[in-house]
Amino acid sequence: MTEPNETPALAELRHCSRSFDRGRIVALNDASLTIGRGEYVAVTGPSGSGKSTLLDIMCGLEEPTGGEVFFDGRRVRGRASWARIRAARIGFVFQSFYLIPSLTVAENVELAMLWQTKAPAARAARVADLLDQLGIGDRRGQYPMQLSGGERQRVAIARALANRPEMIVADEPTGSLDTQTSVEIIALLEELKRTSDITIVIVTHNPDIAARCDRQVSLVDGHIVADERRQGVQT
Amino acid sequence: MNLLTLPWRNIAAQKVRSTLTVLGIAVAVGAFIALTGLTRGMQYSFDHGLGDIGADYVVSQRNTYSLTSSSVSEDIGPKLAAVPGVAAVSGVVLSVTEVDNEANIFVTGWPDDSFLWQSLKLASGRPPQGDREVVLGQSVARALGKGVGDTISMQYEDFRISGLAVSTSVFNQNIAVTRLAVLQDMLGRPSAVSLYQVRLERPFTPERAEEIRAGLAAVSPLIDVSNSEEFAGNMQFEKTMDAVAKVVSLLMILASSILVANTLLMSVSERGQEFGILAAIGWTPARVRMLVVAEGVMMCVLGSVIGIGLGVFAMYVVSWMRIFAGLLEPYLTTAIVAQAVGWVLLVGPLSALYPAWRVTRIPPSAAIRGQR
Ligand SMILES: Nc1ncnc2c1ncn2[C@@H]1O[C@H](COP(=O)(O)OP(=O)(O)O)[C@@H](O)[C@H]1O
Ligand SMILES: [Mg+2]
Repeated sequence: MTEPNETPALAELRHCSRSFDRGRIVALNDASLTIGRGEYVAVTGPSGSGKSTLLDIMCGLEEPTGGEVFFDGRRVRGRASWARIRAARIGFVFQSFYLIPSLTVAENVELAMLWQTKAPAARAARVADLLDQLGIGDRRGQYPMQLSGGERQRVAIARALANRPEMIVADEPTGSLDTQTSVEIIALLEELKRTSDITIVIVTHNPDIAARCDRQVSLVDGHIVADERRQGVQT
Repeated sequence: MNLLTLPWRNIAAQKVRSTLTVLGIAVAVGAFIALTGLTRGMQYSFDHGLGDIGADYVVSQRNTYSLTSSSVSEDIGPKLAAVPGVAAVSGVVLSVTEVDNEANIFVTGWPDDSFLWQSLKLASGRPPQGDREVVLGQSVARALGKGVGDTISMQYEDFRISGLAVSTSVFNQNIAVTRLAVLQDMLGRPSAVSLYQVRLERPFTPERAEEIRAGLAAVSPLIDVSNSEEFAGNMQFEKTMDAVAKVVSLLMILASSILVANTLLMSVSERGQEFGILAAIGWTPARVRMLVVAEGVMMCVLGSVIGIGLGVFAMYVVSWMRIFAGLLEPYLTTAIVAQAVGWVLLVGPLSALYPAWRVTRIPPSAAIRGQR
C-alpha cells in the first residue's frame, strides 16, 4: 500500500476477488498486490491458479466481484475509463498473440495508435521504427497467418509498445513458442527494461524466466501465497 | 490505414454474404426510386400538362377520385363563363383508353370553339375534324409506330390520325386529342364533361385571381376549383398511388435493414475475439461499437449507389413497356434519390445498434478468450 511520502504505486489491487458461475468458481480470492514503477515482476503458479484473472483485473479487462483496483493512485472503474488507461499507458502481450487476421503486420500495430496519434505520417513513422527495432521490418505488409509464432509475438510486442506505455503486461508470452524463440522474446523484453523505466509484469510457467525477474508473486487456487524480491533488488 | 480500414476488410472478407446484403439494400433503394419516380412522374405530367394548355384554373367534380372519374354537368359551363374576370371556359372530357389492344393512353376531347386548341402545337397535319379523327402526341405516336394518315383503334372504333402534336409536357405528348362531342358519344357521357379549364382575363394580380376563384367556387356546391399545379396532387387517386408507393418502398427499406442487422450479427458473432483485442489495446466500448455501425453504414452506402442505378434502370424499363406508353414517364430528381438514400442511412445505422451493443456486452477478457 501507498505510504504518504512515496509516489503512488503504478498498479494496485486491494482485496480483489473474482468468482464465476455465481460463486462456484473462485478464480481470485482476496488478492492484494502493489506494483511499483519500474518493477519487473513475475507471476507464477499452476494453471488455473488465477494468474490471468489477476492480470486482467489489474488492467481492467475484467471487473473484480469484490475489492478495489487502482492505477497510478486512482481508483478506476468502468470499461471506458479502463480502455483509455490501456490505450495510453498499458501494453498487452498474450500467449496466443491475438493479432487481427484481416490486418497486415503494420496495420495491426497502427490499430493501437488510431485514436492516440492523429497524424497518419507520425503513426507510419512510429510503426516503421518499432518493426525495425523488433527485427520484423521486412514483414510489415504481410498478414499474421504468414508469420511464424516468434514473428507474431514480435508484432504483438510492437503493438504493445506503440503508444509508449508505462507498463507492459504479458500473459505467458512464451507459452506458445519454442525454447530458442522464447529466449529471444524474453531478451527483447529485458532489453526494453534496461533501456527505459518501463514496468513489466509477466505471467510465466518457466522457472528460468521467473528467476530473472526482480520479484516473484506466486498464486495457488486464487490466493497469493508468496511475494518475494530477488536478493539485492531495491524497490 | 484509417478508421474505415477494419470494417472494410471485414466486409471484403465475406464476399458472398456482403454482396447479398448489399444487393438487398440496392433492391430496396431501387424500388423506392422507381416507385416514387414513376408516381411523381405521373403527377408531374398531369400538373404540367394542365398548365401548358393555357388554363389558369381547373373546375372538377368535388372530391373526385381521379382525373378520369370526375364528372361535371355541362349546365355549369355558361355559369362559370359568366363569373366576372373569366375570359373563357372550356369543357374537357378525359379518359384512359386502350389503343390497338396494347397500350393505354389518355384521350381528351375539346369543344370546337375551345381556347385550348390555340395551345396545341402541331408538328404535322391538322386538328381533328368529323367523327373519327384524332391528334396524337408525338411520343405516343412514336411508341405506337404511327404517323399522320395512319389509323388507330380506340374503344373498338377506328380513328384516323389527322395530326401530331408537339408539347414540352409529357402529358400532352402522350395524349390523343379529339373533338368533345365525339368523345362524349364514344364514352356514353352526353351533356357532361370531366372538368372545365378556365382562363382569366389578363392582366390579373394574385389577389384578383383569388377573388375570381371564389366566384367560380360559388357557382355550384358540387365543384372544386384548383389551380393547375395543385390540381393533380389533390386527387384521391394520386394520393392513394403516392401512399402505396411510399409504404411499399419504406417496407422494402425496413426489410433490407433487417438483412443488414442479421448480416452484422453473424459477422460480429464470428469476430468476438477481434472486439476483445480492440478493447485490450484501448478502444473504448463506444469506439468499438462505432466500428460495427460503420460496417453497416458502408454496406448501406454501397447498396444505395447500386440501388440508384437499379432504380433508374427499372424506371426506364417500365416506361418503355408499351402497355404503359403515355401513362408512366420516368421522373428522377435529386430529392427522390436523397430521400431513398436518407431512409437507408437512417435505418441502416439503427439496425446496426443491436449488433454493436452485443459486441460490448461481454467483458473484454471473456471476448478475447472466446467465451460468451
Ligand atoms: N470466464 C470464465 N468463466 C468461468 N470460469 C473461468 C473464467 N475465466 C477463468 N475461469 C476459471 O478461473 C480459474 C482461474 O483461471 P485463470 O485466471 O485463467 O488461471 P491461470 O491463468 O492461472 O491458468 C480457472 O479455474 C478457470 O477455469
Ligand atoms: Mg492463464
